[in-house]
Amino acid sequence: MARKKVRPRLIAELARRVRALREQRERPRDSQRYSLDYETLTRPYSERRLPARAWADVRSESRLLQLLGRLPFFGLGRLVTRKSWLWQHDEPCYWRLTRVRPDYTAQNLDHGKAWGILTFKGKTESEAREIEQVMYHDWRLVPKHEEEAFTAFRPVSEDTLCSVPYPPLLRAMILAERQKNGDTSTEEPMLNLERTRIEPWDYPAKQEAKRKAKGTPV
Amino acid sequence: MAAPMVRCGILLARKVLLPRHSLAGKRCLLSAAYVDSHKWETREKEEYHLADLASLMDKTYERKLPVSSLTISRFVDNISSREEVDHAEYYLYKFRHSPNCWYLRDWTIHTWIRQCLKYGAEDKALYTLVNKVQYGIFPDNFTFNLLMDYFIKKENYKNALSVVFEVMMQEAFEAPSTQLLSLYVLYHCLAKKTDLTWEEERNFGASLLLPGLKQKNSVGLSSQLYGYTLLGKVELQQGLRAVYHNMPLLWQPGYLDRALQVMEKVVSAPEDGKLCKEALEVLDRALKALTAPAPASSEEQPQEGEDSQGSGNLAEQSDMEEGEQSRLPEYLDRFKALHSKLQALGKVESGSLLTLTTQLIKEQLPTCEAEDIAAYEQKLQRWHQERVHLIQREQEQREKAKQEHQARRAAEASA
Repeated sequence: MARKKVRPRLIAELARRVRALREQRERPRDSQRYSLDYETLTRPYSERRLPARAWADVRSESRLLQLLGRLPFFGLGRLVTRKSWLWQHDEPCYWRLTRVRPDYTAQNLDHGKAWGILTFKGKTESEAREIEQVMYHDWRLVPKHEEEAFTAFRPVSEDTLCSVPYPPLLRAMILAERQKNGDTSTEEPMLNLERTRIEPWDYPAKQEAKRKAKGTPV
Repeated sequence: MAAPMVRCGILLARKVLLPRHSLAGKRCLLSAAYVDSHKWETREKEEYHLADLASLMDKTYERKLPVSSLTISRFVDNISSREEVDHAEYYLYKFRHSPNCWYLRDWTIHTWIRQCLKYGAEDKALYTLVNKVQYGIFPDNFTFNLLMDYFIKKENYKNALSVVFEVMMQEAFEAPSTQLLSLYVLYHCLAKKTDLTWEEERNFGASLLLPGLKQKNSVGLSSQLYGYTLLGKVELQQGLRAVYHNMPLLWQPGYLDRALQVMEKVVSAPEDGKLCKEALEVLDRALKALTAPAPASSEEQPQEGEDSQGSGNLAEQSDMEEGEQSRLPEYLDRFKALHSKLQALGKVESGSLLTLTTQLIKEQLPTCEAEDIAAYEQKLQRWHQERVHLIQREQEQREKAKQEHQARRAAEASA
C-alpha cells in the first residue's frame, strides 16, 4: 500500500536549524562547566559535589591551564605531569605540549583545552592528541632546568623469552600437517609467549573517541 | 606631519645628551648603545589614528568576532601620549580575553614596554608585567634588560626586584646579560634588607638559583648555594608545597641537601670555582636557626596541617618534614666538615657577593651586550618580515571577501 506523500515541513526544518544555532551559540563554555566553589567543593553548573578522594587535591594542586596561563605562549613545548602519576609510577610520565586553546571567557584564562605528545612510563607516543582530564586539580609543571633529569629514563630490558619451541608431540603433529598440506618450509615451529600489552588503569584514554561515542541526540 | 618629526628630533637630541649625563656619576650597567632606541624609533611603522583603531576594535568585539593581532600591534605602535598608554592597556586586556589571545606578537609586547618607558609610564609597565595573566605581557630577554636597567638607573631597586621575580617566574634567564643584571639587583637588595617574609625568601631563593645554575663561575656557584639555602629554610618552616606551588621549582624534598651537594661539588671539582664566605655564612646561620627551635616549629606544622588538608596529604607532608627535621643534625655535621675542607683547599672567596658581581659585570657585560644587540637587530628584521607577511595576508583576505560579496550581490541581482 503506497504511503500518502508527505509534504516537506519547511518551518519545522527552519526551527530545527535555529535551535541548533542557538544551542551552538549559547553552549556552556569550559569556564562555566568546570567552575568550582572551593568552600563547598560543588560545581555550580551541575550542582554536583566532587568525589571525596579529590577534595585534598583540589585545595593543594592546580588545573593545567592555571599553570599555563602564567607562561609565554601558554607553555608551548613545556613538560607537564600529574601528581597522581608521580605518586603511582617511578618512570617518567609527562605530556609535551603542542597546542593550547584557552577559554577566553574565563577571568584568569584558567580553563581550556590542550594537545600534546604523551610519554607514559618512559614510552613516547608518536602523535599529538588531546590531553585528557585537563580540568582535574592534579597538574604540575616541570621546571626547565629539571627537564633533563626528569625525562632521563633507562628502559629495563625484559629477559623473558619471546618464543619457545613446541613440545615434541605437538611439534610432530604440526610437521605432519605441514607435510599433508604440501608446505615444504623447514623452520622450527615456535610458540609465541608474548603477553598482550595491558595498559595501566591510569593511561590517558583518547579524548576524541570519548566525545564521538556520546552520539547525536534524537 | 611636522609634529612627529619635531618630536623625533627632540627625542634624538635627548638621547645624545644622556650618555654625558650618565657618565657624571649615576650607576648605570647597560651601555648607552644598548639602551638607545634609535633603531626602534626608525623602524617602519604604519600611521594610523588611534580613534579609528579603537572604534574598529569596539565594533569587532560587539559583533563577537575575533580581533587580529595586527590591529592591536598597530594600536600600540601609534601611542603618542600618556592617556593613550591607558587606552592601550584596556585594549591589551580585551585582546587577552578574546579568542586570539595566543597570537599576541613579540613585537607588540616589546613596543608596549618601550612606549611605557618613553612616556614615563614605567609603573604601568610593571603593573601589566606583574599581572601577566590578565594582560599577556611576556617580554623577551632584551626587553627585560631594558626595563631592569631603567629601574636601576632610577635607583628604584624595589621595582627592579619585581622585574627579576617576573623573569624568574617565566624562567627567562637564557641570556647572560639578564643573568648578570638580575644577580646584581638581587645582591643589592639582599645587602640592604635582612629580615624577609617567607614569600620573599622563596622568591629570592628561586631567583638566585635559576641564574646561578647557568653561570659557571664562583658567583654562579655561590648564588646556587644561597638560593638552595633560602629554599631549604622555607621548606622546613612552611612545608614543601609552599616552595614549589606556583613556582618553577621541583617538588622533591631536600633543598638543604642540594646546597650541601653544591659544596661537595666545589670541593671535589678540579677547576677554580670558589664559594663566597657570605653564602657559606648564610647557610651556617640557617642551619643553626633551624636546629635550635626544633620543637617549636614541629608543633606549629601539625596544627596547620589539621586545619586545612585531608589526612593523606597531612601524612605525606609531615613525613617529609619529619624526615628533613631529623636530618638537620646530619646536615650541620656535613656542613662543618665541608666548610673546613673548603678552607683547607683555599676555595673560600672573601669578597662580598655584590663586589664580585659588579666585577663580573664589568668584565663580561660588554661582550654579552654586543651579542644581544646583534640578536636584537636580527629580531627587528624578522619582526618586520612577519609584519609585512601579515599585512599582505590581511589585504588578500579583504580582497577575497570583497570579491565574494560582489559575486553574491551580482547573483542576487540577476536572480
